[in-house]
Amino acid sequence: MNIISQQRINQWLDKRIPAANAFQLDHRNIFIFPAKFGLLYLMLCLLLFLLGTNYQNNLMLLLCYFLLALFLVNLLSAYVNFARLSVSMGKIPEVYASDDVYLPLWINADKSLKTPMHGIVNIGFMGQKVNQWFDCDAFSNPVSLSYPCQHRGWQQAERITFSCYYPLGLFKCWTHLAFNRKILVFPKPLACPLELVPAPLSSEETPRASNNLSLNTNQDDFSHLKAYQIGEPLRHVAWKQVAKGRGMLSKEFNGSSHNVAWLTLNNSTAEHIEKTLSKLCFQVLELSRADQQFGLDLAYIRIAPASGENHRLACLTALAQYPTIADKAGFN
Amino acid sequence: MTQQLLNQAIHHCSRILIGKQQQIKLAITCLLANGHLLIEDLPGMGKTTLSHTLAKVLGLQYSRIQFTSDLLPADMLGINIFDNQAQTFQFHPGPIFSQLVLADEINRASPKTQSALLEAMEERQVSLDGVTRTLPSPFFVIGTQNPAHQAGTYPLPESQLDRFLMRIQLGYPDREAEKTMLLQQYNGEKPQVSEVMSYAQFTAAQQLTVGVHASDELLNYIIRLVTFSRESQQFANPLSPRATKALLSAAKCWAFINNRDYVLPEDVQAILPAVAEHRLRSNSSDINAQGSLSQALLEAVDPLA
Amino acid sequence: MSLWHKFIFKSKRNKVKQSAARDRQHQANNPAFIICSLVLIIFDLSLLDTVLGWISLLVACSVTIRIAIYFAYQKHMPTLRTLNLLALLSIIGLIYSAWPLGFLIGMVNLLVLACALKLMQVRSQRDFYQLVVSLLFLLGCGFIFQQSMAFTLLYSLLSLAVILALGFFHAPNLKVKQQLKQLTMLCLQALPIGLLLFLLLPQLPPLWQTPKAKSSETGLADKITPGDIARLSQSSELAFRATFEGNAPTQQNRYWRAIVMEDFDGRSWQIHPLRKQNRRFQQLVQQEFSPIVAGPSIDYDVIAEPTQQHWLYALDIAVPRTVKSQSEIWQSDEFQLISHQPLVSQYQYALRSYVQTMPRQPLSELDRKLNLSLPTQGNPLTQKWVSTLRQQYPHEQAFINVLLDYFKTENFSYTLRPKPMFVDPVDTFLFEQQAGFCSHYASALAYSLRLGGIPARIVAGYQGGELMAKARQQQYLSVYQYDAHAWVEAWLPDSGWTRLDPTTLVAPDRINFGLRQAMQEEGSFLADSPFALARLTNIALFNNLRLLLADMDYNWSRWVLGFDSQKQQDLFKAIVGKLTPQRLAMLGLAIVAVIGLLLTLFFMPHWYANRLNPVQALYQKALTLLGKNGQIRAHWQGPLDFSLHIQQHLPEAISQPFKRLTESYLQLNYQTQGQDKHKSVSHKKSINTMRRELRLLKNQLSKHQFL
Repeated sequence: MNIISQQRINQWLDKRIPAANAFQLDHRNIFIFPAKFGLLYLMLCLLLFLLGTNYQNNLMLLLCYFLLALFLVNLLSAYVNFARLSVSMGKIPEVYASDDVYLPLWINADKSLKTPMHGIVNIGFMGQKVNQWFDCDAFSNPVSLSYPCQHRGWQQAERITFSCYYPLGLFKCWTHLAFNRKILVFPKPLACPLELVPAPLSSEETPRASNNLSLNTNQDDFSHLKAYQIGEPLRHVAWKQVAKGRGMLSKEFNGSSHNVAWLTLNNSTAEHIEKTLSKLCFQVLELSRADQQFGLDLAYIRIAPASGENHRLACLTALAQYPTIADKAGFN
Repeated sequence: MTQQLLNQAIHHCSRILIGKQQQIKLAITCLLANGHLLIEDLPGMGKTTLSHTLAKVLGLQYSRIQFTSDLLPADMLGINIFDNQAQTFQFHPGPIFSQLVLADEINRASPKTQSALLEAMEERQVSLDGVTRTLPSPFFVIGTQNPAHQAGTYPLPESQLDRFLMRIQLGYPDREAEKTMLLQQYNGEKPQVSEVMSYAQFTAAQQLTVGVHASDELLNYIIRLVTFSRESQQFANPLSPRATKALLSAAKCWAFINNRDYVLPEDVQAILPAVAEHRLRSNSSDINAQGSLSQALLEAVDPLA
Repeated sequence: MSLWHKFIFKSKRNKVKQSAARDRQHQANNPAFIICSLVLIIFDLSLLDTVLGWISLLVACSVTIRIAIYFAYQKHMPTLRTLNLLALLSIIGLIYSAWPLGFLIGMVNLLVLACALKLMQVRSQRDFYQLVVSLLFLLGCGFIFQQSMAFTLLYSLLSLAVILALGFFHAPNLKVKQQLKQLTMLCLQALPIGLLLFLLLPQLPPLWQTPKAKSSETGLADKITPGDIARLSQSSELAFRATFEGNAPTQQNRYWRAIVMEDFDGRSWQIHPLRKQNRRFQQLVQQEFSPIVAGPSIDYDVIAEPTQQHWLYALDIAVPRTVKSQSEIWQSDEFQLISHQPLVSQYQYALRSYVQTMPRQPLSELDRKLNLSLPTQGNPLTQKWVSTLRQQYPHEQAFINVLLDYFKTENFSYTLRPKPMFVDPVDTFLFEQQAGFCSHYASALAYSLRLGGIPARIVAGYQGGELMAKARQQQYLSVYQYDAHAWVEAWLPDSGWTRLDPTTLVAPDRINFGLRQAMQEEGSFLADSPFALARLTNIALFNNLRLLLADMDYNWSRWVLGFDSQKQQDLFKAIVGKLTPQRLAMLGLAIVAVIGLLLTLFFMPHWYANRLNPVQALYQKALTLLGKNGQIRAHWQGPLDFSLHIQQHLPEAISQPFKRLTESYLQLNYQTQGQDKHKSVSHKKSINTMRRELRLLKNQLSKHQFL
């Protein structure tokens, strides 16, 4: 029952506040209702009214009516203040499974308001306990909202609830915003030795253990010096040359950088597929850090050997998108 | 009056460097905004000619440093040599002590020399053996750089690219321009470069550009541009606050050259590629790999809203 | 790249505070708590005689703790256990010490106590809200005790301070100046609405019997012991005010009856217990006494200051004039007016006095019995004296004249500092001291009359008052405590109840010019309060100031404190004319409409600000026009570029007006400097240019389409 009503609400919200990347709050997406304190305050007004009437005390009545009027005025000013909020979702950083993703929210970033927004804004995911906040009078963009990612693959962030009680806490203004941004969660890296295969495996061929290359082996044969590139491991720097004042040169080794090597999904080991993916993820990261060339063979997709940032991202994406068991079952 | 002189200077330069009026204008804007200029292009595109001409036209004292991998910081900055007669160390200033320094093929020098140059650019002074020496004023560096994929280069690190106010590319001249150039050479007529502005006049012009008015709307436009670069997934390296300042001062100078005492969104749009492109790109080595990021940025932001 | 992000977000992680941290942060250095503390302590100080001493002490403690925490002298708040223990002890203490004080004072004490304890332990948002609501309620209750203008101002400021605290609580980082501006706006907007509600929402009668406040009773005492020391005359506090419809009676005729005392025990006079019993019985059976009234009358309103007692003041013989007053006032047999409610706060009532009907009133059996009763013993000299006289003068009038002559001929003097007379006070006064003030004379005369067989009693009340009259205003009379007076009422067969005031014979100034004049020589007027403004009447400036203050206070009492259903109806009548249900309904609707209108008016600027300014709007209109004709501006295109584009693509007739419009737009938007550019003349001119060119553009476009 509860789930059904929740679904109804979600459907209604989807219609009323469709997902977007940036929001300017207005009458379509702001909800406003007296806060608990507002109700308490109304009780106070009632009490003052009763007491003031009973004692025929005009000053008390005046106070009561003034507070009541303040309540009314507060309704509008709370709305006006909250309607100054504009939010957009920024660049989502890379995230690995079982880590927290930090969603960067840009608040009133590209607006120039004559009267800025004030007060504390609480943020949280819809339906969960609000536990983060920022103060409109003192914050720096972007405000980030963390969110635990349990599993790899595409994830849709929940609706984010913004709420604000400014100016007097009598009314709660809130909104549930959906950002049309999917988060790709990479598998969790799992430390393991590198397992590089020199050539792509043909369908039935079993990998030869003797040909497995690891990062360690490529330190064996010194080949030549080359100009140091930012990001290369410092242990490759030819410090002697530096000392001679020839600048930063790094030692190049005969190894996998010339021999194209592959990372493959080794199905023969009976390990759980997720664990294997995690290990592959670790290897991709390690190899990328070493700026090595490598390819990735994941049965459903093959990524040609290359190096660099884009290649790394492509590999991680492929790993993240590797069909889960459930998907596979669906295919069969 | 001052604008006239500046336009005359532009005109003068474009007689030498045919068909590159826009780039020349940008270069002068950059100098007017008291910024350093990075010219990036393939060899033989006229980088050196441009800087040489600029120095001459603006009446600036000029020196040229050819960067090579064995160039040491001392070669550039200067050196203390013991003077036997005076029994003291005598400072022999390096080529950097001049108003306009052409740092040719800056990416060929070792990182150490590069950083010495960049430090001097930023501080406008040089520290040698514990003595701080002020560089002449104005002090401009026009760095030239060959795009990557050229053997034996040390690409400038991102953090240091930011020190250059603008980066321009000259590109190939169009058919007409190239033809004119050929004709000139064939006829043996070599346009004479003469000083159009004195150094004092140029400094005065610099003073004037500060007074160019940038309205609230315009500042908001710049802020929107910068914010978009930070928010959007499209840009790996967003624009820094230093870039924001650079945008405004360059836009002011551009407006000034165009004979206006206020800045329009069009001014920002005109200078943005030169100011922002090298800052937005995450890796300077692959120039042609991606489309123009600054153009994407411009097209994403409405100047009116 | 990922490293960079990790770095950025690691630093961000610290910035996002968890809610527990927020409460802690709120606590330590939010000005809201300091403001609440100050409000509480100031309130406590303003009601020092109502709030119990040890509770005030507790308030001081909790405020000290709060301030120490705010300035970080102290890091930790008292633990919850300590506070619970303290609360328990306090409640026991409160029950013990406040039980006899009655409901109202008990409640105020309880609230102050609760606030003090809450202030010590505000931990969560909820605690703070409770504190705020309690404080506001306390301030409301404060109005029961203090209604003067100064205190109203103080309490209003305190209420605003509480609202400021709320503001600080919800925007802790907003600058103080900004905060004040925002809240001032809010309050200024709320004020007219509040006033409207106050003026136009119906004033209801009390919903139930209000619990009696047992605070110290002030004003006239219901027992006169002439031998005691004079007390009343020494106070310059206001007793009541009366506003007359026509002319006020002359000074000599302003005898304000309050209490009739018929029981004399040889020393003191007081209300007869039989009268009290009788009244209770009458009230039970709802049989109110009504005097026989006829002849000329005076209409007036009285605003009585709070006395915590029941009796009211009136000129003889008064009947309530309005329905409201009738329902609230009880007329008793001895022509006393008694309020159903004790006067806990200022009370206004309307009366009509029939000044000449006193002699017509009959003397009932009870009256005769009570007014002839004599104490069994004491004052032998007087008894002897009177019996001798009575034998000499059997006729009542002659006997009275002789008695009065005695006061006139003997060397009696009027003084506010008589010597105490403890034994046989009437004898001592009449034959030894021969100096005293009104109650001495009244007591001696009434006793003598009773001894002589004439029914007589003492009436305590006020005599005189200061008449304040302004050109366009109704006359009103301020009567102060030092105007308190006592006189004698005797019943004569041919003239009924007759007022006899022996004081007039001794000190005619007292009656003709008031106490101040009468006491000029003796210098005993307000001798106890050397700084009372009333003493400084000789200095013109001070006197003017005093009169101004009195005047303001009068208007305050009459129009603000005294605003009641009667005045409200008058107001309604003034607005809608005759009070028919339809008209009242219309009025109700109008109020709602006016409030709605006010709210709209307040928030128009915001809505307007969200819209484009005229410059932008005009330019956008032009863009829309061109867009309809197929020339759509790319959303990133600058205005100058677009104008050039139009010049290339559209005929000159169209592009020229647009070019000029763009020029004006650029000039307004980007060229003009200065903050107040919106006001300058050239600004308006340029906008007009834009309007003109827009019209031209429209015309040209439509022409173009037709062609």
